[in-house]
Amino acid sequence: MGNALTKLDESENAFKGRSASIGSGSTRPTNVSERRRRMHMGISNNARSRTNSTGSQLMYKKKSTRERDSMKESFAKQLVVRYNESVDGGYLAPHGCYTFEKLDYDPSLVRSLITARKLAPFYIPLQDFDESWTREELIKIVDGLPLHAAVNENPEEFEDTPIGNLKVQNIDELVDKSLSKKEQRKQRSKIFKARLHRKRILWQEQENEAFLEQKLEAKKEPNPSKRNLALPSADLNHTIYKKGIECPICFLYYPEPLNYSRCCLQPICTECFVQIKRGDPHFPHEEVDPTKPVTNDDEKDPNLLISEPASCAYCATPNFGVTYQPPENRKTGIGGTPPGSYKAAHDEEKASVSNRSGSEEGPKTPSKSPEDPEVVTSDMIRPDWKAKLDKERLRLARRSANATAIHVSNQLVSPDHPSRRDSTTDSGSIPNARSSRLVTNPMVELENQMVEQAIRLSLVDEEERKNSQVHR
Amino acid sequence: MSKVPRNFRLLEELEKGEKGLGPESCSYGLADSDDISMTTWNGTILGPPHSNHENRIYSLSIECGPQYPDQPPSIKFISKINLPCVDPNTGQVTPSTFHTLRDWKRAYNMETILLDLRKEMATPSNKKLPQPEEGSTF
Amino acid sequence: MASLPKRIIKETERLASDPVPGIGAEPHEDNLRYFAVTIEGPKESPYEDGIFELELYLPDDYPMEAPKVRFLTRIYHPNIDRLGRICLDVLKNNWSPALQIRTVLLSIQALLASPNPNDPLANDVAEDWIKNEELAISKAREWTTLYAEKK
Repeated sequence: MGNALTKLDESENAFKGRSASIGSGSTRPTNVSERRRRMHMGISNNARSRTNSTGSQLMYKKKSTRERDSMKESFAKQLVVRYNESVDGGYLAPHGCYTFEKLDYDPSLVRSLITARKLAPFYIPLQDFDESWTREELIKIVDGLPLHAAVNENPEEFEDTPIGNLKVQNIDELVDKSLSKKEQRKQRSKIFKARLHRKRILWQEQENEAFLEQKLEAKKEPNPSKRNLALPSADLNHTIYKKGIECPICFLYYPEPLNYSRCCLQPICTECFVQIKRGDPHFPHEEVDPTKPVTNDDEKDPNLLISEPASCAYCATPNFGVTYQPPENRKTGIGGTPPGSYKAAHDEEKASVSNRSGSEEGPKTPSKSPEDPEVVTSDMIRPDWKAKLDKERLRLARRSANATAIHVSNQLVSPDHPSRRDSTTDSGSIPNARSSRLVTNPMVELENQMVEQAIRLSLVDEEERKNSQVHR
Repeated sequence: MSKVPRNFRLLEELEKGEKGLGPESCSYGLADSDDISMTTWNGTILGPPHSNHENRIYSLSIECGPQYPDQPPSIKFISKINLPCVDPNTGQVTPSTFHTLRDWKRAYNMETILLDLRKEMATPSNKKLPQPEEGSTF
Repeated sequence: MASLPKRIIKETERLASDPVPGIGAEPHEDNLRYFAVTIEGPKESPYEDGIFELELYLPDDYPMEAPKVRFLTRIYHPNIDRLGRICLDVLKNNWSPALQIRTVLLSIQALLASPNPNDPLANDVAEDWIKNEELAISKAREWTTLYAEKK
């Protein structure tokens, strides 16, 4: 156990060094769009360092509600698909195959990995693919695809939740002050969620509209050099989509190349990759002897809780990771030429059409270890996994300490020692079977419980001390 | 959100009940552990404090028909109780006088019902109602 | 209700166009994530000649979360309890999004062929299985005739 954890910590640190190199590896800005990009990168890098340094504190030290809200908003903003943030024909945010609630990776990390071409971009998927489509048909189909999949605008969950004016930041007015403090907090968080849902839809809609508008204008503009170069050229769309490959997880069609599992070299789209993560913390599963009673999870030591790194979806090799070999014949968008100016080389176009088992199909490299610098693992895009495990251990330790405390106080309510509570009840029918049932051998039991509780509480303290040291 | 079919919904509720994740003031479980249709359930409510129900444990029988959870289950007190929403002769909780059953939503479950019944026992107008002798049944 | 993910549509189509021998799976008309399933008992197992009815539901998070599956036909098996719940690794910790309805149902069929009383769900059945396997197998055969007879 201890060994395994040390090892994981090391690999996490190894990655921290690497992610820094991704950030610093960008080149000097040359033109306006490039400069804008760098500004954007700068913003997301700041956001990243902020979440990294404070993300784990969040678990243990209370941040103000407003700070937390603004972190959630900036997280959601990074998940908006923007047409002018493209890489080799794909984008920096997921298309929406999985719901927003299921996106819990670090978006600024993934954005950097995509722009560094260490992970395939989030392409807009095709629902179906037919090899018999002509060039014109394919271009038309791709041109009609939305940046993001449709989102349920009015989920049942938020049916009766007021969202007020979205431009007004302070939402305290919307909270019903006649409710209890606890209920008010609950309502406030629900209002925030409903507003964020609405805002996300608006942000994406704005982006969709801008995309559509630019596309319409480009159609009217006879001079190709005057068109918005952030829009993908017909050649680019044709080149990337002409050979669809089905992701074995979501069954949607994507341009090649996709990411490939580091172990068994199976394809996986980025949208599915970011879904794969560690399971929830749990106690180790033991094969049990059916003739013996089972230990209740509540009675187990919280420090025994484990969470294993995600396994490969295809071959179950532990510590799932992928590699990505960016296309050699096109480098468009961030870090490359404008997508609108991409022209397919004439002979290359022919070659890849006639030769279907072209150079882009499949990975060229043998399987790699999770420490290989080319590999992106599931843990790497969720650097907070360790904090989550600690938090769960702490929660469990607290719960069992509470349970013991309640149990101990129940012991004090014995039929032989009428408690305060009993003496204040007006009905004459005090202690019945229920209270006496709890007590078998009061004094001995009580002593044991007290000792147990003391041990648990010191466990909690120790855990808190460790955490405050780690996160200081 | 897609609709969880009846049986899988009831299995979820059963697991929640078995693991004791629910509140301590109420509990429920399958009446017959062989009943693959999971129709009949037993429930208990621990009477709320500061009321005439304090320290009493009420037993109930819950019947989840084939239309559950689109339709509410039918609920009957087994322990005798004096409560406006409970038929004084049969112990049946009458949907017309119990808002949780009357304004039933698919998202509600057996736990919702038991907790709401417990709240009902604790309302200012109900908490001091004279109660039948403890341990008597309908 | 959100539209059905392409994956579920395609899996359903492929199950219909390329069915698994001995296994049937058809979605309910009013809930396309909810399937009526039949599995034939594997040859040379105590469940041979039985046809078992099951129900399968693809939760919202499918395929990131495993399908939920349950036997509707009563069956005497150490890894299947009296409510038809199944203790099978691929339905729990070992679920992978690369698995499909098809592979899950094949795994269940394989579980019928090779019960594992050391990781039981039905404790009483597992105990029988360990104490007297022969007797347990004959009981499983009896139940198959009783509840899962081909119609």
